[in-house]
Amino acid sequence: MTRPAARPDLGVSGRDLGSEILRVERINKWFHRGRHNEQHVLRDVDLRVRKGEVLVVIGPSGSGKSTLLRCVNFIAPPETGSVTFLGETLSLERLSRFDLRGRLDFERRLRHFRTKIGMVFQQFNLFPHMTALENVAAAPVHVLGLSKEEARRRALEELDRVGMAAKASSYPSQLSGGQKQRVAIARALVMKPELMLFDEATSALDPELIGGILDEMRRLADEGMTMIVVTHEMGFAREVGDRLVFMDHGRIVEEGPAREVLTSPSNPRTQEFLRAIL
Amino acid sequence: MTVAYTYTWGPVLDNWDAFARGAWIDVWVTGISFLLACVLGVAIALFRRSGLRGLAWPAFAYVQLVRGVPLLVFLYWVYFGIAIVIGVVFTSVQAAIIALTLTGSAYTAEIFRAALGAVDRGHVEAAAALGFSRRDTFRIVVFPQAVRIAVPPLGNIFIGLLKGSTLISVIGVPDMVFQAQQINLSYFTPFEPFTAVALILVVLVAAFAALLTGVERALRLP
Amino acid sequence: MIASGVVAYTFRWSVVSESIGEFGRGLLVTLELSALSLVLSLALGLVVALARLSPLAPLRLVAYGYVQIFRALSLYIYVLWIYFGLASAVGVNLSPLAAGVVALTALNSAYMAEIYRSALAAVDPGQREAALSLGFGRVRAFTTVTLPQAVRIAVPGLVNQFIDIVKDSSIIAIIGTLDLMGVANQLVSYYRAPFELYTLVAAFYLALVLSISAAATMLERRLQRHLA
Repeated sequence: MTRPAARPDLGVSGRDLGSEILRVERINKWFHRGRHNEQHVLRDVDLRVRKGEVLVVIGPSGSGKSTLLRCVNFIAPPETGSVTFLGETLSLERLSRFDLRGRLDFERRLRHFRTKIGMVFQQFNLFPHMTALENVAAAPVHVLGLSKEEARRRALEELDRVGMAAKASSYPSQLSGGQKQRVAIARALVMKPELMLFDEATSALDPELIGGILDEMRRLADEGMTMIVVTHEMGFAREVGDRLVFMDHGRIVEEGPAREVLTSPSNPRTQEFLRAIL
Repeated sequence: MTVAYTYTWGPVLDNWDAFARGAWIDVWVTGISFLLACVLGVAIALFRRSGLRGLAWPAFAYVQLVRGVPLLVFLYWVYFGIAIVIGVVFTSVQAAIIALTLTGSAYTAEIFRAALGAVDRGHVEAAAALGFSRRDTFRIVVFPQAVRIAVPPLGNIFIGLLKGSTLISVIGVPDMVFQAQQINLSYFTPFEPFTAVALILVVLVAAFAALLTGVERALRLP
Repeated sequence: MIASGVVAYTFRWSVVSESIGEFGRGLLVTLELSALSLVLSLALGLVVALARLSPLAPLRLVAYGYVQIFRALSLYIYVLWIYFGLASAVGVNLSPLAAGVVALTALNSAYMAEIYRSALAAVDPGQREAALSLGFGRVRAFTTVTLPQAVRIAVPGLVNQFIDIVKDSSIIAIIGTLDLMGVANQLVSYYRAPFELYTLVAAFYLALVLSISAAATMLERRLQRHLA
C-alpha cells in the first residue's frame, strides 16, 4: 500500500484530521487490592483525539495502557477526571455514592455514550451461547431497539464486510481465533460507532492469524474511522498510526507523530522500551 | 417371626392405582417446590453477589442456617410449629411444599451463585461496551450462560428433593409411602408394599436422570 | 391440629430449659448413630470404589449396581423396608438403631464410593508411574502413593457426606429411636409446644453441622500444609 509522505498537520496516512472528537482530562484510576493495598494505575492522564485520527498507545505491561482505553468508555471507570466525547462530558468526580437520581442519569447517558464507541477485546469476548450472527445482531435489537429482521440484515452486512458471512450461523467455539476477532469487529461496527477502541486485539492470536486482523484494522483506518489502538505490533503502529503515545507507570511519557517517535524517541524510557522489543 | 414368610403381592397389585396416585403427588409436590426453590435461589444468589453488605450477609446466613437443618425437622416445624404461632392452618401439602422449598432454596442459591460467578467477566464488559443496560446484560448475556452451567447440579437437587418428598407422609400427605403404610396396616404385609415403593422410586429417579441428560444435550452449545 | 384462629400465640420458652436434659441424651444417640454410620460407610465405600476399579468385570458390575440402586433410594423408604419389610420377610429383627445404622451405611457408602472413585481418578497417573519405576509393587504403590493423595482430594466431599448422615439420621426417629428428633417428637406430644421444641431441635442440628464444617476446615488446612 503506497502512502503519501507525512505532514505534521495531517496523519502519516495523509488522512484529513477533523475537529476534536474525544478529550480525556486529568483522569486518575486506582486499583484496590484489600484495604491497605492501592495501586495508582493512571496518574493525571490527558488525551485528545481528532476525527479520523489513528492513535496508537504502546508501553510495557502494567503501564496502564489497557486501563486508559477502558477508562474512555468507563468499562473501568476513572475515579477522577472527565471524558468528553462528541460534546458530551462524563465524570464520576462530583457524583456522590448516595445520589441515586444522579447515578441513574449518569447510567443513561453512559449507555448512549457507549453505543457510539466500539470496543474490540484481546480475548474477543463473544457471547458463547449465540451464533456469530446473533452476536452481531444482539446490540442492534436490545440496545437500539431495531426489529429482528432489520438487525439481522445489518449484522449480515457487517459480517460480510469482514469476510465472515459464510460463518454467520456458527457458534464462537466453532471459529478460529482470527475468525472470532473478525466477528467481534463486526459486532462493534454494526453500531456505527464514531470511535473504535482496540485493546491488544491481536495479542491472543496465533502468529499466522495476526496479519489478517491488522489488515482489517488498516482498512477501517483508511475508511476514515477514528481509532485508539493499544498494541505491540510496531509495524502497524508505524504504518497506520497518525500519532503515538508511550505510557509508563500510569503516565504518558512521550507523545508525537507515530513514525517520528518510533524512529527517534526522545525519552530514555521510550528508547529503552523500543530497544527491548524491536 | 421365625415362621416362613409367604409373599402376598395381591394387596399391592390390587391397589396399583393408589400407588400411582401417591407417586404422582410426590412428583408434583417436588416439581412445584423445585420451581419455587429455583426462583428463591436466584434471588438469594443475586443478594449474595450484590456487593451490598446489608443484602449479602443475610443471604449468606440464610444459606448456612437452612443447610444445617434436616428436612424432617422443617416438615414438623412448618406443619405443627409455624402454623400454631401464626395461627394459620396449613394443609399437609402446603406445609410439605414450604419445607421442601426452604431446603431446596439453600442448595439452588449456592448453585446459582457459583454459576453466575463462572460467567466470564469479559462478556459483561463486552455487553457494557455495546451499550447494554445492566438488566439486559444480565438477562441476555449472563443468565443464559449461568443456566447452562447450573443445569446438571440443579438436576441433582431435583432428584434429592424427589427423594426427600418420600418423607411428606409423616405430616399426612397421601403420597406413595402413605399408601404403602395403609396396605401394611390393613394386611400386615410390610415387605411387599415397601418393596413396591422402593421400585417406583428407583424408576422415577432413573426417568428423571434420563430426562436431565436430554435437557443437558438440548442446551449444549456446539 | 387445632386451629388457633386469631388468638395471639404465647411462647413458652420455659419448656426449652425444662427439656434440655432430654435433648442431651438425644444428642448422644444422634452422635452414636452418625459416628457408627460414618466409620462403616467410609470403609464400605472404599471397598465398593475399589471393586468398581477392579479388573474383574463381574465385580465391577456388582459394585456399579450397588452404587446405582442405593443412590436412587431414599433413606426413609430404605429404613421402612429394612425395619418392617425385611424383618417380617426374613425374620431378622433389628433394633431401630441397628436398622438405622444399616440403612445409613448402605446409602452413604454408595455416595462415598463415587467420591473415592473420582478422587482416585484425579491423582496424577505420573505419581503411580514414578512409584512403579522405583520398584514399588502395584499394591504398595497404591497404598503409599496414590491412596494418601486421593484421600486428601476426597476429604471435602466426604465431609459433606458426613453432614448428610447427621441430618438424615433424624429420619431414623420415625421408627422409634430416641435421638434428637425422637426426643423432640416425644416432648412435643407431652408439652404441646411444637414451635419451641422444633426450633430447639433445629438449633441442635445446626450447631452439630456448623461444628463439623469448622472441624473439617481445620482438618483440610492441616492436610494441605505441605502441599502447594
